[in-house]
Amino acid sequence: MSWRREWRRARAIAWKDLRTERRSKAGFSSVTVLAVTILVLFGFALGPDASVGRDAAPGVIWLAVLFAGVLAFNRCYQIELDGGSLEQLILYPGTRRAIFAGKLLANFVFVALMLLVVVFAGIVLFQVRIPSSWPALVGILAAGTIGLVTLGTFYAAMASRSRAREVLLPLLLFPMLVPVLLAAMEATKALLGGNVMGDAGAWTRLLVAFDVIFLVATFLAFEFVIEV
Amino acid sequence: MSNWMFVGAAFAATWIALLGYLAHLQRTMRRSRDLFERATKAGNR
Amino acid sequence: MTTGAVASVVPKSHASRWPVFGWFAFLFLIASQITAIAISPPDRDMGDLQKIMYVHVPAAWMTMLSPLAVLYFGLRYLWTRREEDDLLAASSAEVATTFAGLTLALGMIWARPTWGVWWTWDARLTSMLVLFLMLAGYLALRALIDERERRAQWSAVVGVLGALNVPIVYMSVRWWRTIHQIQSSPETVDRAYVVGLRLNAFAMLFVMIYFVRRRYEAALLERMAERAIERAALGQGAAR
Repeated sequence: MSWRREWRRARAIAWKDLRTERRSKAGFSSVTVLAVTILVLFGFALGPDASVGRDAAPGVIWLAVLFAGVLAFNRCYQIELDGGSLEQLILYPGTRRAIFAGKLLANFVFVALMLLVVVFAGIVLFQVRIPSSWPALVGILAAGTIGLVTLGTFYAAMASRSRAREVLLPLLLFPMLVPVLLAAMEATKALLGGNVMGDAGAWTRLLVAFDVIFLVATFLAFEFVIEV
Repeated sequence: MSNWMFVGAAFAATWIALLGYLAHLQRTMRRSRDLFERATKAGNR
Repeated sequence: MTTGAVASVVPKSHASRWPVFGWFAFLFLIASQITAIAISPPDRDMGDLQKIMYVHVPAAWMTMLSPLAVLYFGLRYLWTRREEDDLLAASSAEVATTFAGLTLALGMIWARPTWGVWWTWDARLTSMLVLFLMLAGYLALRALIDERERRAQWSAVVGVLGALNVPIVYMSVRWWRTIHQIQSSPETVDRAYVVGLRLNAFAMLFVMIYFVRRRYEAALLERMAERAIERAALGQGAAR
C-alpha cells in the first residue's frame, strides 16, 4: 500500500529533521528563549496590573509562540535548500506529500514543546490560575498548534525559497492565520476564565474544523508549490 | 462637524482613489508600451 | 500567446472598444451618484450620512467580487498554465487592493460620525482589513519572485487559498464579535435607497472591469516585450 510507504517516508523525514534539530541544540533553546522574551515584552506593554495581564495572557501566549515560530518554519527547509537536496527529493515518486507531512510532524513537535514552555512561563508571569479542566486545555493547545504549524510549514515552503523571506513569511502567513488564532485564543481564554459561557467548546469545535480545512487545502496545494 | 462634510469626504475619497488608480494605469500602460516598442524596434518582429 | 491576444492589444487604443467602455463606465458612475443623491430622502436615523452608502457599499461589493476573480483566474492558471490567466489574476488582485483600501477609508469615514470613533472591530470592517493585508501579501509575493513560472504558480496557490479564506475569516470575526456582545452595523437597506444603490453598484462594477482590463493589457504588453527581448537574445529572429 503506497499509503504506508508514504507514511514511512514522512516519518523518516520528520525524524531526520528532529534529530538535526536536537544535535544543533542551539535551535530549539534559542527560539524558545525568544518566545519567552517576547512574552516578557508583552508584560511590559500591558503593565503591572495583574487583572489586565491575566485577561491578556491567552492571546499573548499564542502571539509569542507565533512570532518565535515563524523562525522555525523558515528554518525547516534550510537544510535541503543549503544542500540542494530538495530537487533530488522531489524526484522520488510520491515523496512530495511525504515531505510536507514529515516537515509538518517535525514542526508540530517543535512548536508544541515550545508552546508548553511558554504556557508555563505565561502562567507564572501573568498569574493565570490553572483550571481544573486542564486536560481540555491541552487539547485546545494541541489543536491550535496543528493549525499554526500546518499553515506555517506550507507558506514557509514558498517564503524560504524567495528573497526577503523573513518578511514574506509573516506577511503571507499572519492574515491566513486569523481564523485559527482567533479560535485558539478565544478557546484558551474561555477555558482559563472558567468557561462561564460555555464558549470554550464552541471555539474548540471551530478550531478543529479550521484545522481540517487547512490540512486538506495545504496537502492538496503543496504539490503545486514544490514542483516549480 | 457637519454630516455633509463626511459625505463630501467620502465622495472625494472615492474619486481620488478611482482617478488616482486611473493615472497609475496610464503610467503603467505607457511604460509597457515604451518597453514593447523598444523591444520590437530592432526588427525582432 | 495567441495571435488573437496580440491583435487586440498592440494596435493603437482607438481600434479597440475598451477606451469607449472606460468613458462610459466613469460617466455612468457620475450620473448614478448624482441621481442617487438627488432622489433619496434623508434617513430617519442616519440623516444625510446615508448618502455615503452609495459609494461605500458598492466599493465593498467590488472588493468582495475581486477575490472571486483572483480565485477563478488562479484556478484556471493551475489548469491551463497559460500566462494570460496569470496576468488576469494579478491584474484583478491589484485592482482589488485599490478597492479594498477605498472601502476601508470609506468605512472609517462612515464610522466617525456614526459611532464617534475612526475604527471599530466590526466584523465587516475587520474582515475587510484582513483581506486587504492578504492582497498586499499577494502583491509582495509577486514582487519578490523573479522566475516567471514560479511566480505564476505560487501566486495562483496563494490567491486561491487566500480567496477561500475570506469567508472563513469573516465567519470567525463575526462570531468573535457576537461573543463579546458589541452591536453590529445595520444590515438591511430601506427600499427607498435600493434603486440608487443598484445603479451605483453596477457603475462601480463597470469601472472595476475596465480597470482590470487596462491593467491586464499593460501586463500583456510588458510580457510580449520581454518575449521579444528573449527571442532576440536567443537569436531566433522574426516572431510568429
